[in-house]
Order: sequence, then structure tokens, then C-alpha cells
Amino acid sequence: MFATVLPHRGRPVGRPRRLLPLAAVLVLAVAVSSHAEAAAPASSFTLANGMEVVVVPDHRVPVVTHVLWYKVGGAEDPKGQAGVAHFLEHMMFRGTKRFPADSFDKFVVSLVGTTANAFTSHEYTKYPQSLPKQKLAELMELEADRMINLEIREDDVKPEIGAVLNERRGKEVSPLFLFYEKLGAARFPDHPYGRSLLGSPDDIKALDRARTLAFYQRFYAPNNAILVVAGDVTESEVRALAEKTYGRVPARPVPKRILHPLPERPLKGRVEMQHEQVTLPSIGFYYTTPGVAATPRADAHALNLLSQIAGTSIIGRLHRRLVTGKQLAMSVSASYSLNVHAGTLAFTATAAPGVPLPEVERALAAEIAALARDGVTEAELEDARHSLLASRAYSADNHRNRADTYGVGRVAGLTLAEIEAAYDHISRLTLADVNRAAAQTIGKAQLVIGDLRPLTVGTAK
Amino acid sequence: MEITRSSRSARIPACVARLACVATLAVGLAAATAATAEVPKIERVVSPGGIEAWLMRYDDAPLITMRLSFSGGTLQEPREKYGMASMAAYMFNEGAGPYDAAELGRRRSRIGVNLSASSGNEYFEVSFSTPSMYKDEAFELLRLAIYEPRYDAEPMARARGEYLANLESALKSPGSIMGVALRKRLYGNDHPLAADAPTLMAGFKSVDPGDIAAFRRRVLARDNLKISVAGDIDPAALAPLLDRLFGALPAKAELRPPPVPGGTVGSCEVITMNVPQAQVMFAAVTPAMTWHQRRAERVLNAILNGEGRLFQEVRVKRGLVYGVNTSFSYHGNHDVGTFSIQSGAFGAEVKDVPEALRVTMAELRRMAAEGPTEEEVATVKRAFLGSNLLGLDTGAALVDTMSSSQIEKRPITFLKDDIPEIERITRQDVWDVAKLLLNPERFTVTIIAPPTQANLCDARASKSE
Repeated sequence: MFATVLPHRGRPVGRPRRLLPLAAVLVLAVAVSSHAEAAAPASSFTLANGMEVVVVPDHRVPVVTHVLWYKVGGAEDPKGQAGVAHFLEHMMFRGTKRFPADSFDKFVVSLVGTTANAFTSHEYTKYPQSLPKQKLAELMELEADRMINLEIREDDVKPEIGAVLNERRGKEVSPLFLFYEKLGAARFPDHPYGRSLLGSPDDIKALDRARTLAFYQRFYAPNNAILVVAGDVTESEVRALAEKTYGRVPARPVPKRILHPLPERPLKGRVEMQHEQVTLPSIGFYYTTPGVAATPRADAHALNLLSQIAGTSIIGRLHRRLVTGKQLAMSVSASYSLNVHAGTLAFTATAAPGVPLPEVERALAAEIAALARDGVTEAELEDARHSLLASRAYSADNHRNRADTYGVGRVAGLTLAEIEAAYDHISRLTLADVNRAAAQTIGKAQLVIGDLRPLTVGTAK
Repeated sequence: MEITRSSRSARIPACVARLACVATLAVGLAAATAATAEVPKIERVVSPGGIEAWLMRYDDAPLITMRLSFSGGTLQEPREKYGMASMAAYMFNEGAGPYDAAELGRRRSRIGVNLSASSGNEYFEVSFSTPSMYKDEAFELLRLAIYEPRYDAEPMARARGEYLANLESALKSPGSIMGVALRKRLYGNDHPLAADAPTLMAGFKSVDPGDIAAFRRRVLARDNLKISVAGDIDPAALAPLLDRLFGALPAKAELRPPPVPGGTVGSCEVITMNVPQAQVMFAAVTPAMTWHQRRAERVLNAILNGEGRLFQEVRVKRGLVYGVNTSFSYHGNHDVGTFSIQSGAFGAEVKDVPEALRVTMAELRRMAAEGPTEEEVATVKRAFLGSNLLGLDTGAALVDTMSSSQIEKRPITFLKDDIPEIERITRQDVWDVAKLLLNPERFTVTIIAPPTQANLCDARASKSE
């Protein structure tokens, strides 16, 4: 939900940012097709120690993207230790005996002039790096070394806790960050998705060396990792390098990932928040859908198409009806995201100036009900499908996005074939498929409504 | 949701631009060139009518990407019409020719065409891409957007409403509040880059279709247009297309030089607000620099940022911040005049602000006094030489790189020229630039923080360790 943006010398955008961005990033639903017109297909192999390697060739420029994914994230934070997966991700840059503190940063800076970055979600921790092809072997040495030899020194813990506390405070400036934490807690009581990835300030202060080390030793192993190398490489090149580096790291027993059952019923059907920085109130309908393993591929693609038909800017149904039609909303969105333990189908609207939020909520609810009852039209489906299929030309153009698609998909347990079949699958979806998925999800899934308003004087904060 | 490690992930309001962050136009990092022989080739394509474009061809992906860059952005707006450039950008794809906004949107979406415009402070840019199988229909939509714009009431009202709503929230956002405060001191109250939300709102409310048309007449012309193309199209097909798309634009743009910044130097201001984390920004207007100096500036800021000195001293050793950055931004363009800004920013707990500010300023002072080490300069130069190709791996990145280089009036061989240009940078060059740019006494500092007894401004001047 908070797209993390790597440094990019982008220019200013022509449009103001939407007030309430899509509730969640689209994950998995539309994967890159490896056999799109020009993209060379991906392949994979497994090292003797159980580490899986996916190779995604793109030979236009002598550049590679190396992404190491660990199949562990905030969902594995032990009870009472919220934030430890993310904290470990930070500590991974504090060095090993062979490559002491900051040598990872120094290596990356010397290559591409920027620091190395890393990302923690509830289901994975990923360490991505794009670099000139001839430096790949060195990066793999470093990355394989810190898979097994990380040193977590007592002296480094306190300053890193300081950095994480500042990271958290920096995010708390945004009302949306606070709102989504509250929403997550309400939607997923007693479930890892309901816990903060960063941890509360008290959780963060309680992090220590022993627990971080224990987490590292428990989950960081070749047999719990997926390596994706995309760009100007071949499978045999990557295999040779991987055997020399990661191949030397012994496998160790890793606890099997527990699939956390969805809560029977949310504790609260509605989350309300007021914040002084909010100017226009927003309403969101968040439906909790099953996780990857429990969602048939056809349903996942159908819900993705549904969200596109409903939510696309300017031409989507919600925009046509609520923004340009009735002029009740300033902006609208629809999104579907699918993760390991659960998915989310979300519809949101931000009120137009002067329109009371309950009126927007009623109108949005009526549109959602109509989607469930009457479905979408053949014309809407045809436009959306045509658009998705046309956009497959873009998938061949960005090896970093392809690396991400394969990584996320594999972490969630999809096969390469399933990941690559997305476009074919979408092209075969019928109106009945989409409308059945819409009716089932909207009719049966748990719903939590999120209500975010400006702070009014004299009311609770 | 992902939580990231790095401090460089755009959380820090380091920009000193107006509506949005204008990143450096510098070509340094991304376009720094290949140390290998495999520098991609850029062709100059000239249409029968004399219109020039740079083309980087590849057919690995069935896609054509194009970037149009017109000199003249928000700094061309008259004061009473602030917002006209942004409105022109928004309306660029909100209906054209026979199609209203919804129908144009539907047609674009169906064939996978991206078409959007944006207005920076100095450039009005159009980004366009299409799957090559739909190129004829796609280029016709682009032609309509250029010559037959529509200003229908619904999208006009929607555009204005969105901008006004954003400005309304800027009134309450700590980042925007401190940004405006800093820019007022840095540029002077009346400078367009220092316009506050109420002033901008008044402008946006008054912009009408006639204003947008007037802006387009002044700015969308042939002599201030740079065209970059990448992907699945050959020169023979591109040349006549250039005439069809751009041949009927006016020959000459009517641009005015931007107002000269005239703010105070070296002041410090604390804004008290109930925020979870104090934010500190500092900036100074810097002298005009040569291309070679700007290259050295990229090395300098890379040494300070990244894993560099500030990150190590303030975050890694002391844990006072999540991120601390400095940056250099270049405003203006070669057609109408330039100035540049050296700036920096961090967020910290209010009790740590004096220490973080003291360490930051001490590091900047030390860099100006002692210069970088040979090793630091060598490391960053190696990085620049190695990173070049990272900016060339998608159609969008390619046109971005070519477009920046055209704007900078660099030769079409810039990818090759980069190697000797970077190699020529010496420790002394970087040090000289550090003396020009890193002068804490000249930095205008703005701090937004919860109420505190401490005098947060004091720390910036203290020289003792």
C-alpha cells in the first residue's frame, strides 16, 4: 500500500496525487508472460542445498538485476517481537567477518553510486540490486556470505534501533500510514497481517541482539531462499556462479511456513479515524479474500479484471458514475491484491468538496452491490481484457519488473508456468467467470469499512 | 506493503521546488557512460521538414517510447495565473478532436497507449508509449492531443478540483508548510517558486481554457522542442512521422527569463507544530556552474550521501535519523537562464535535532575545509563509469536519458564522451566545488518541530565537536 520508490531522477508529475491511493498494490494477479512476443522465457533450477534459482534473460544491455528473496517476513515475527523481521533486514547491512560493516554499501556505491536497499513485507524479505553484468559474481559472494556469516554486534543494535524509530516516526507523519495500521489490526485480529511490520515504538525499543540472531539462524538458509537473476545472463552462467557461492552454504532445517487461518469474523466492522492533515473524507470497503493457495487462478484473474473495470481512472465504472456522473467523489479506486495468507478486494472513494461522507458511502455501496448483483457488461469486460493484453508489450521492456513478478509469484508458491500463463488465462475469461467471482467475493467475504475524516474540533482524535 | 531499509526512499522532503519535487536534471548518475565498448548507438533522425529527433532503436520489445520536452514550465506562468502550466499538462489527454475525455481514455487504454504531460518548473514534457502493433492509431491520438485539444467543462472542473484539494491539504501538511517557509526565505516572498498554497489556489481558480490555449501557443513550438525516441521503429518510418506530428507547431516559442532568486542568506527558522518527528531542511542558492563543475558536484554529493559521510556519521554511528541527504538541483534551462540550489534534509526526534544538525553541519564544513579523500573520489568515479547502463534498460529510461542530454545541449555522442569527462574529474575539482556549495553559514535552515525549550537553531553554527 505504500509503494516504495527507489531513487529516480523523475520529473514532476502532471497530476496531483490521488488523495486515497489504491488500498493495496496489485500482487500476482497479472504476471508477466514470459512468452509475450519478445521476452525470452524464464527458467529455474535448484541447487543441491535446496536453494531455488530463477533466471530471466534480457540481453539488450549488459546489466543484471539480482534479487534474493527469503521466504520469511513480518508474518513470522514471534509473538511479542513485532518488527524483528524488518530489524534483521536492517542488521543484514552490518557486516560479516569477511566483509565487515558497510562493505556491502561500499561495494554497491562503488558500482552504481547508490546504497543497497532491501524490503520487508509480511511474507518475504527481499534484497534487490541492479548492477553491471561483470560484477555479478562479486555480489553473489557477498550475498551468500551474509546468508550464513552475519555478525550481529551488541554495539550496532542501539544505533540501528534509533534509525528504525526514526523510520517509524517519519511514516507516522502520514495519516494513511496510521490509518492502514488501524485497518489491518481490525481486519486481521490475532493474525500476523494485523500486526505492524515495523512494530510499535515499544516493540522496536525491545528488540535485541539475541532475538534478532535467533530469527536469522531460524529462517535465513539457502533452502528458504529464492534467487532471481534477470537481465543479460544465461541459465548456465548463473548456475556456475550460484554453485560457487550460494552452493557452499549448507542447508539447515527451517520451520515450515504456517498458513494462518483467516479470522472467523473481524472484531470490528468499521474503522474510523480523524486526522488533522486530512482535508477531504474518504471511505473504503475492504473485502478479505482467501490467500493464494485457496484461490483458484481463474478467480484471481477475474477479480483483477473486475477491479480494473471498476477502478480505472477516467474510464472505470466508479469514476464514470461517482466522479463524472453524480459528482459525489473527487476520486475513486478499486484494487485486488493477493498474498500468501489472504487477499483484499478494495473499493474506495474520496468525497468531492462539500459532499457529506455518508452520501458518498451510500453511493459507493450501491455500486458495489450492483457489481455483485448484475455484474459487469460484456463491453466493459472486452475493453479491460483488450487493454491488459495490449499492455503485455510492456512486460518485455523491463527486466527489473519481470524479476519482481517471478519472485513474488514463487514466494507465494505459484509455478513458473502459472506465472507465465496469466495473459493466456485472462484472454480466456468469460463474462460468467468475472461475474461469478464478483458475486461470490462481495457476497461472502468479510467486509471492513474504513472511514477517514478531517479532524473536527471538539471530537476525539 | 513493504517497509524499506534505505534512507534514500523518497521520504525526505529534500526538494526545494514548488508543486512537486524537481529532480536534478543532471545527467550524471544515470547517464554516466559505459566503461564497456557496448555503448548503445543513438541516431539523429531529421525529417524532410527539418525536425530532429534522437533515436535509440531496439526491437527486443514490441514497444515505441517517445519523450517530448519543451523549454518552458511553471516558471513561465504570470503571477495571477499560477497553475496554468499544470492545468495545461492535466488537460493534455482529457479529450481531443472528436473524442471527449472518457472516449479518448477508452481508446488509449484499449491499445495500451500511455500519453501524459507534466509541467516542471522549466520544462513542459509529454511522455508517450505504444505497443508497436498499434502505432498508427496511437500516433493519431498523439497528433490530436497536440493540435485539437479540448477543454470540456467536466475535466476542467475535475482538474481544478483535484489541484485545489491537494493545495488544501498542503495547507496542513508539515512537509509543505516547511517547504514554503524555506522557499520564501531562499527565493524571496514574491518569487514564483516560493508561492504558498493560498496564492496558488487563487491562480488555479482563475485559469480558464483561454489561458491554457495561450500557454500552449507560447510554449508548444518547434525551436524549444527536443524529441527522443526509443524502441521498435526505424528512421525511415520516424522521419515523416516527425513532420506529421510536429510540422504544424509554431516555429518559435515565446519564453521569458525566470525571476532571479532574491532571498535571505543564512537565516534559521523554527516552526512549531504537533508533529511526530522534527524535520530539518536547509538550502542555499549557489553560483552558476560549468558542466565540468556540475560533474564534480555529482561526485561530491555522492560522497556525502549513499553509504557516504553523512549516512555513516549521523545514522550508522549515532542512530539519530533514518535518513539524511544532501542534493543539488539545477533550475532554469539553457534557453532562458539558470540558477541552482544545494540543499539537505533529515528527520529526527526533537531532542536529537541539535546533535544531528551539529554533526551534519560539521561534516559539511569538514568537507569544504579538507576536501574528499582520493579514495572517495576514485570510488565514486568508478561507480559513475559502471552505473551508466543502469539508466538505459527500459524504453522510458532511454528516452529520459536522451531527453536530459538534449536539454543539456550535449552532443549525440554523450554516452561515449562521458568516459573521458568523468575520468578528468580530480580530487581538487570536487574540493573546489565543495568550497562553493558547502558553506553552512550560507544555508537557510527551516525546522518544523513539536514545542521545545531548546533553541534548535543554535547547533548549526557550533563548530566544536
